[in-house]
Amino acid sequence: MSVLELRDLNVTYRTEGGDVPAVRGVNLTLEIGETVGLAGESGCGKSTIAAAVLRLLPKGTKVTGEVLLDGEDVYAMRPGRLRAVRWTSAAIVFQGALHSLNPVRRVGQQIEEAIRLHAGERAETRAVELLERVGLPAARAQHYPHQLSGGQRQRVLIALALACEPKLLIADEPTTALDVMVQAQVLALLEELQRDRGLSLLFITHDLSVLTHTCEKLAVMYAGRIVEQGPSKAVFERPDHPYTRALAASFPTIGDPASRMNPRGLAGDPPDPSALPSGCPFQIRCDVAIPECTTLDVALRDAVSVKGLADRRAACVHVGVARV
Amino acid sequence: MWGWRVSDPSPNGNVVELTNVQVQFNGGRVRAVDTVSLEVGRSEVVALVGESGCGKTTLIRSIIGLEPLAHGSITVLGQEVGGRRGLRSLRRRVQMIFQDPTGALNPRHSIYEAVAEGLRIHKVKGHEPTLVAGALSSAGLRPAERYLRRFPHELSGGQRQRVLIAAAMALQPALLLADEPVASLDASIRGEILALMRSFVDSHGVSIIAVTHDLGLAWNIADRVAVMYLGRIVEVGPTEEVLGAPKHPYTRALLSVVPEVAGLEQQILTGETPDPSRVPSGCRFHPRCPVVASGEADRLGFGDRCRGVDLELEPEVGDHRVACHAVAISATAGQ
Repeated sequence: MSVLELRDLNVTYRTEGGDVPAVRGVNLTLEIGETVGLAGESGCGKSTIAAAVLRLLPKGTKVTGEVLLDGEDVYAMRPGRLRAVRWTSAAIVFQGALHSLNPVRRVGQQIEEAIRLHAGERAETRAVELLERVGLPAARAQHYPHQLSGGQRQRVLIALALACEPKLLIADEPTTALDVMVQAQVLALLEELQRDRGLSLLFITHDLSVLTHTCEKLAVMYAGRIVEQGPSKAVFERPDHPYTRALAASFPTIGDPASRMNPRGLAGDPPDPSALPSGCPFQIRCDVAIPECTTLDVALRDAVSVKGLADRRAACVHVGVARV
Repeated sequence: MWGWRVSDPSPNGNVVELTNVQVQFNGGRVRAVDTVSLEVGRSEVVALVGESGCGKTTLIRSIIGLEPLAHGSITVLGQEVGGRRGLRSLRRRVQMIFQDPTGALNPRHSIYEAVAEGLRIHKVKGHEPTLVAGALSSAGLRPAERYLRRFPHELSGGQRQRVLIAAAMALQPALLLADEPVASLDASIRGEILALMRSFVDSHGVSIIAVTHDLGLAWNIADRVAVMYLGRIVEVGPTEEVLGAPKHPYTRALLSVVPEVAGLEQQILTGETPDPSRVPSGCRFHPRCPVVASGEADRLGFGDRCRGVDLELEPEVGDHRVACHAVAISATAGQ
């Protein structure tokens, strides 16, 4: 059974200015011990998915489709069951470590609290063990968040997320605010946890190059949809969707003469989710758009028709043939 | 108007010259910048790279006179920074752009006001609306008329950074100081902004010092790279040499953890970013240095120098200079 399965997930925020569809028909599966990366620009819906998995969306947000954690629909759970599932089945590490921790409580206490609420026993010892597990000395348990550096706080958040030994860890831009060296430390830690404990990891970031090095599979989102997915190295090196191609090209390869003095990016901005154009939402920024793209919104389909290689899919008129 | 070029900066062609610059905080207990010398020529882009707390932002702030120097001197366009006299004219010729464009813009000022403000402060001659429109379109906000009456919240992050670049370039500066100019932007937008910055160098002869922890930025637009560690430049040279054949163990470690570099074995330095109020004795990098930690430095007989003797940049090959005992010793041995 899959650890996480999203079936035709749609999330629509209700705002004063009208409905904003943030996630539109996303299907995604995460097997035990698997790492999947979710990439895309600001506003593409990737963080909305993180919040949707544990029902952390603002009140009144419209959610359709299914979110299955270990085969159980999160949106059909009773409040008590939901509270148990959060932390023990799945936990989230957010980007802003400073804002996720309580500033007036010692970090050790904050981890203990999570353990007491869910697992109960030996909370104090377990909290120290967890801190050591993420590379922080036991003495740090006595510190307040402001006494720790950005990298240390991020480690505390990871320790906190691991408090109840979840099977699934959702990491939403866990390294974005960190220096390169500290980022490397945190990424190495996540890889180690995933390897040693068979943790499944859903890794969300706009940094495609980080995902390629951390995740086996990659899903690229644009305007609320997955527009390309497949094995991460293959997707990064030989993208099928023009959006992925532009995104991948914007990460220069140091030492590569082609990117020397030649920064590349993607002109324009993503479309406003409350006013999506008809046809393919990427057409305005696409360098290979054809007249059909203004009317035709292609669904995700097999990118490679050769047998055995059908693990790559993309949502583009130029790609493969429609799956029957 | 947009055909302007930076006039000859100073007798020796340098736009900025830093000589043994030291900036201290807390009465000298924190040595944020500790003996740094650096020259930047006309039409040159220098990337100043290093971790948080290495002093790179303090260093560029000192160039526009925002940080008093404890020692050393800074001249910009042949004029010494620090004296009260001429600070305004200096500030026109040296412009700064920041990491967070949202925080740098006044939310109640229209885009027109954001660009016009600098022109008014510096009493720039000419027809203001024409100057503003010209600056906006040169920064890629075209047609400019579509942006003039809008407010920062109506623009995307990339567009806001373009507004700030337009406001800086409207003053026809000789030097642009950019503090993590693309760190808060999406990867897709990043390349566009960097290309824009580089285009000002090529078309107007502007020089840029870009402070960043992003080595990809250096590879994309910089002529030279200076690597800073705990207040000091530990390696400097042409981008191809510093990033293609790094000599300092710290530069090598930094490069090895950048996902965009292929083929280098990852060398993750342990410990936190070092603290400028407790600069280690000897080579300041020695407590984290893989060459020292592996015992290689002791085996080759210079471990004591690493732990005991502080050092500055030595010439390596041509313009490529490194502050490392291992490199200095192997260079002497090779002669």
